[in-house]
Amino acid sequence: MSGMQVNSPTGPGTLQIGTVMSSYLAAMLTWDAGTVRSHPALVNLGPFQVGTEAAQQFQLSGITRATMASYGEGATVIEQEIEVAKGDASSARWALAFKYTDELRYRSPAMRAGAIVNGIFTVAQKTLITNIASLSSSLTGTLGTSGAAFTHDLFMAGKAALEDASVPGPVMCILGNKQFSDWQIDLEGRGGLTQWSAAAAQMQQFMGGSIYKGTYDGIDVFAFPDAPTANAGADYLGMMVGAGCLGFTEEAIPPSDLANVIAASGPLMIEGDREATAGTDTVVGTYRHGVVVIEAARGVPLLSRAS
Amino acid sequence: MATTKPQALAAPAAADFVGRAPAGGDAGRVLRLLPSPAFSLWMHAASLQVVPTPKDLRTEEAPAWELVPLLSTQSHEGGLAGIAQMASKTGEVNLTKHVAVRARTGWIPAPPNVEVTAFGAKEQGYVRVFDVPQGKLYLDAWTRPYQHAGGISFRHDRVGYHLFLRSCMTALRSYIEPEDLEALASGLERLATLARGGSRMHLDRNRIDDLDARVQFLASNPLSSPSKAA
Repeated sequence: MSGMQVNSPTGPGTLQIGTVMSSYLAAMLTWDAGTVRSHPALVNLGPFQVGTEAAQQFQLSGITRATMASYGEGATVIEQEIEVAKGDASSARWALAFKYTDELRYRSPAMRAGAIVNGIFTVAQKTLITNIASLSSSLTGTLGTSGAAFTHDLFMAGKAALEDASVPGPVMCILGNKQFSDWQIDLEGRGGLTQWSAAAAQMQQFMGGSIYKGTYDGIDVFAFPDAPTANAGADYLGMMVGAGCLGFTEEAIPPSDLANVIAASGPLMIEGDREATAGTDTVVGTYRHGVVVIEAARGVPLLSRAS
Repeated sequence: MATTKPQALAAPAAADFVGRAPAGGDAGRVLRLLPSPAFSLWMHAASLQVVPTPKDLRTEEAPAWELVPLLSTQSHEGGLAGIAQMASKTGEVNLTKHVAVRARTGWIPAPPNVEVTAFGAKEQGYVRVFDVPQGKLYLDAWTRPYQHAGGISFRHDRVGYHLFLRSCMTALRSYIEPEDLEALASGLERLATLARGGSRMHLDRNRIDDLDARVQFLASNPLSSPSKAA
């Protein structure tokens, strides 16, 4: 999923990984363009406070939506109610474990802890974007029709809907793979202005396994196969969201005193288990996070066929 | 040959051990899919769609288009949309907040007690669970996996799902009458306009007609008559 690869340490053992890998992880969580985590349209609600309950509260107010009115001298200004809203973001434990025997570790280079740590990092990124994408079905005002192919018109309609609602940018668009390929096919047959735009040419580039597909009209486009479906699997329900529509929170629980920590980078912790009686090693990755809709009106779901 | 009387066991001669055929690999019987969390379906008065009536359900008098909810799938996994993980050994998730968050924003659970038919048979509910190697896979009742040598394909029961959507529409309207179809109509109209003006070389006439028909259907005020669900 992520474009960047970590160089696996060549030597055996985990000591080297423990020192080298955590700095890689810290850097990659924030820098990699292949993840949505660092996209400015998403609100990072920040880490959990120590000792609070398992939900991060956030407050919203609509003060800046108000307008001033003209009053005569001495006239009393009529007060306005401040529009407030409150939300909770809950974090939870998302984890993955790989177990392998001594012989497998010895014979297969894929079973080195370094390679597995790299894989778990990629999976953590994928988990976050999958969870973010799953929020599309919590938005209303869906554009598009069930069973029909994704078209350039649908993309433009989404953009227009956000423009009309004065949704602040930057904007990101998360689609299912089929939605994106349908869009590519539609763009290929376009005429007029669209045909010769650099953005259309960028969308036509084959990006392979990367979830980041490029930028069209200032909208960052992501597409991946685990996007949420609708209508009993017949459709993909992608979305286009502006800044402040969706948010996430992460929780870093310090490792246990008894832990054999391979790498700990904030919310992502990778631990090792050695079961000598069975001759097996287990690598466990835990990524504590939660995703939430902050203001549903800042996004629009895009519905089109899934197959 | 069933018998309730215990039979005397004769000591077999060494040559009598015949064994049995091994059970064989169960690769064909285990569904090779990744697990997915349990989920519930939710509906909203502002999340509607216009879909064509499936051919099998169409009669002379029935309309070609129907207004039904676009259901939202809410995963019951912790960390999503206000679902907290309970601080307990059981690893249970706490759905209280999730329900509160959904209800506060106008979502209503899809009726759990309506009759669900899928692939011509009555179902217990809209969720089906499968055992997969790493846990459990939850699918809706109208999606059925088929495992074959080349992989796994899914079949969908459009008719059964459509009947369920009709029941959902009836239930939704008994809670809250969706009064304003303007947002839905304007969205479709915007799409039709774009489709008409946007593509000069690749004008898909059918698609524009399709969108126009939906807009026209919405203009005919489909909410004026009671829902057609049985």
